[in-house]
Amino acid sequence: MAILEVEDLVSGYSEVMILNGVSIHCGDNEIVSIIGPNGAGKSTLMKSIFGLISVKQGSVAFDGRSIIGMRPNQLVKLGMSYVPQEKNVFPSLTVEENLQMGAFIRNDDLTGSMDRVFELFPFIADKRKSVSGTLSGGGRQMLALGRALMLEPRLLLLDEPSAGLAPLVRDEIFEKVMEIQQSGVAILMVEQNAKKALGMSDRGYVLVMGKNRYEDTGEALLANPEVGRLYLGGA
Amino acid sequence: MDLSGLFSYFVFFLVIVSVYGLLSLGLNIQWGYTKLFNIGIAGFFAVGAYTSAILTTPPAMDRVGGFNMPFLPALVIAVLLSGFIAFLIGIPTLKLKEDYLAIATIGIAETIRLFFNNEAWLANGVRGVSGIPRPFQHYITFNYNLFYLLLMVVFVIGVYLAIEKALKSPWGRVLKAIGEDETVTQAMGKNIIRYKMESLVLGSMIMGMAGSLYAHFIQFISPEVFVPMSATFLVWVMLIAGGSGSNKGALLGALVIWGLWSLTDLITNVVPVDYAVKAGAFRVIAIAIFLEVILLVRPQGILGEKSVMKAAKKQEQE
Amino acid sequence: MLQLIANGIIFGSIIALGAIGLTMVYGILKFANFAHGDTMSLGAYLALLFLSLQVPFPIAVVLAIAVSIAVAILIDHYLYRFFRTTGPIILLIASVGVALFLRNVILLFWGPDLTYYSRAIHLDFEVIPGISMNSYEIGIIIVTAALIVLVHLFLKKTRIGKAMRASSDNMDLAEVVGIDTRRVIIWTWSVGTALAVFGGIMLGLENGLRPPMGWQLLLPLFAAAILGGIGQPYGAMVGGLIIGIAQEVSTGFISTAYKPAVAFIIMILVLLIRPQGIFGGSKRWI
Ligand SMILES: Nc1ncnc2c1ncn2[C@@H]1O[C@H](COP(=O)(O)OP(=O)(O)OP(=O)(O)O)[C@@H](O)[C@H]1O
Ligand SMILES: [Mg+2]
Repeated sequence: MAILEVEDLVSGYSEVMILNGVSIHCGDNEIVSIIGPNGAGKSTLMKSIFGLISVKQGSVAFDGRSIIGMRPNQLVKLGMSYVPQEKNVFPSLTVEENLQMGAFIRNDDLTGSMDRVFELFPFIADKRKSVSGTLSGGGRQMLALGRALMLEPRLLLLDEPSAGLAPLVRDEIFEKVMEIQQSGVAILMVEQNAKKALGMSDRGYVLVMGKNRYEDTGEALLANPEVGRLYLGGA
Repeated sequence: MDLSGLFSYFVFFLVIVSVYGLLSLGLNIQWGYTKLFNIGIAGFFAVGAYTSAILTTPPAMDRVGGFNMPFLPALVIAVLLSGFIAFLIGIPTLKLKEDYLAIATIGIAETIRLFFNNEAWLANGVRGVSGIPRPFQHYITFNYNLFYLLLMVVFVIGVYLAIEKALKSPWGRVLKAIGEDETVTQAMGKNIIRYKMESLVLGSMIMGMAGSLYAHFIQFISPEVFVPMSATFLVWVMLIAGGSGSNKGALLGALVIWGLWSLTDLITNVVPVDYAVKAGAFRVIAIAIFLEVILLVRPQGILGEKSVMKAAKKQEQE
Repeated sequence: MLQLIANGIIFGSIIALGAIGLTMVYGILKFANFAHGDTMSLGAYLALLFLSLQVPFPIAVVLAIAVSIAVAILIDHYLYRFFRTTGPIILLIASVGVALFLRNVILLFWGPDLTYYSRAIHLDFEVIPGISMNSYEIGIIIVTAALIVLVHLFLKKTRIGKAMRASSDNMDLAEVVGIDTRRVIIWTWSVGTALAVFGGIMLGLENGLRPPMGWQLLLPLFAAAILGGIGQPYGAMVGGLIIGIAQEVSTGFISTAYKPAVAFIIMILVLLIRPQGIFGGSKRWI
């Protein structure tokens, strides 16, 4: 069963529509990648799903229930978390405080969840009292992922988790994403690193000019010569 | 009031409207087109007025000047000096976020007022400067106020036409573009700070001109005149009510708001003295509420272009 | 000189209390609130009102704070809220209107004359050699110090305090992570207004009450906030003290009438030399 179902989505900014009928879905515990050229509307799709820009047409359902018109602080309660493409940590807060903010809606003790995050990301565990603005790019990305896990979501939306990272750090992040998925979280991920992303995904979509052009398993998309030529940077 | 009394009241009223019309036109260049937030109008108005007062009065014992200078050269100096002070204010603030200009302009206006208030050697301090000569008085054989009104109308129309013409030039188009969408204009490769500076200076020069013309008409000025309420806030209400971004709106706003303001003044004058302060307070409360209602209900003003608000909205979203 | 510095600390405490609220509103709601000085006056006069109803002083302070917070939140709800998407300048204009509104409401109810909380005379005594103060002034310094510690604990230890710092960093992200930003806004007004009312009452104790008392403090408040790095409460505290001391010390050399001008000149110098303020630069709160 699909945890997320997006159908014929039309949305954009004030008068300009960026998405013109996007349909995607993400199954329980699936890892799904969305790739596509710059400006295709990938981030816009993520923001529309997460209620940050208003949807003009189409439907978005989480767990079979429409979530159109819901604010982010309602969506996190349902079990969905989102890590934006950039500026995804609070730079003046410490690592620990950032994680606490991820669990703002919770009143109970956070130590359990926090320990789990630190277990997954030992790198930031050592820096729990440091101000997050001083972290490296990789550290910040780990913190952003960790923050999104604080409410133990069932679906994680990731917008280019590997952007701007050195190859080694990038691979580490991808490994962590896999680990998160294996722990039972469905993942919908936008990536520029298309080959790598499709390689680890159950399924993938190619988004072009506000529409999903191709949809297939990760392997099949990688093997598709047309997709390869146009969107994966040649053979 | 008999008919001739009514007539002279009306002439007086229109002269003051013209003064405010100039202030409002000056502010429109700054805010209406380039989104520069000047809340130190009173300061530039004061500089214009005091410069003219000091330059044109006959020599006085207890203060600087006067220099017996003729009206027009003094006016030119007053205008230039206002522009120069605007230039100085622009240097530290124009490259920063818009709010800093607001804070700095209110600071300079307050400092200027304190300066004239306390430096008696310069302009008689709180007692103010009196006996400011009326220009061309000897040549005028008819009602002088009527003549002055005609003079004001010439200045207002002159400034209005000059601004309209300037705005149609390439320079003016860039100015408008900055107000509409700063990032786009920057992308066009224009030096935004230079254009903003020109807009700030030009607008303040017109405010200085208004100050000079006011001083020559009333013939007496004191720091009291240049408090933020009457000299700055009312002008803002005029421009916003009339429609920022429209020069006709700026003038219409001056007429309508000064009309309302004078009307409420008449009411204040008929209540017993004991209530005068309260009535005065009530008047300001009313105008403050009026401003908020315009902002909420018709932010583009009576004659304003809708796009001004849209541009502001768009900028916010980016 | 020592005495002037002591006076500066007293006055600087009052400025600091006002500037913290100003800078918080700037940091979170992103606009320069020109009505903040008049909020201080409102609080001071409300305390006067409750005192005249024979309410004991501490309770009068609490009531003044409660009513002022209610007023601030109502104004936000019925006015500022609608301008959040139209950009900071419309908010600024609206706040100038609110400033005039508040000041004239005060004028309407209490009249223009100087009034005092009490007629009692508090004698100065020598606290340490060279510095004399009266008991009010010692109280002002102690209460300010206590409030600053409380604000610090609030921002550092409480969930909502941390959420306020987070929102000041990045309001959009705060929304994304699930912070209830509407609650953050209400808390921002509450904390800022409470501190402003404390400052206003202290100003009333020190100088008596006049309707324009808060408006006239606006320039020093902004100077303090900018000096400390706008958006940063800790900066505002230090900025307030520096401005207060500079203003008082200046009276040793120039007319006291120029106090606001001193604040203004410091502000211009800061804008020229280090516009992000002494504590700015890394966009941090500390
Ligand atoms: N806030 C905004 N207001 C108006 N237009 C926007 C806004 N954000 C993005 N756009 C436009 O929407 C289009 C799609 O942007 P989007 O960020 O969704 O692309 P993307 O596929 O994520 O690209 P990238 O790979 O660069 O992240 C672009 O043309 C962009 O200019
Ligand atoms: Mg993107």
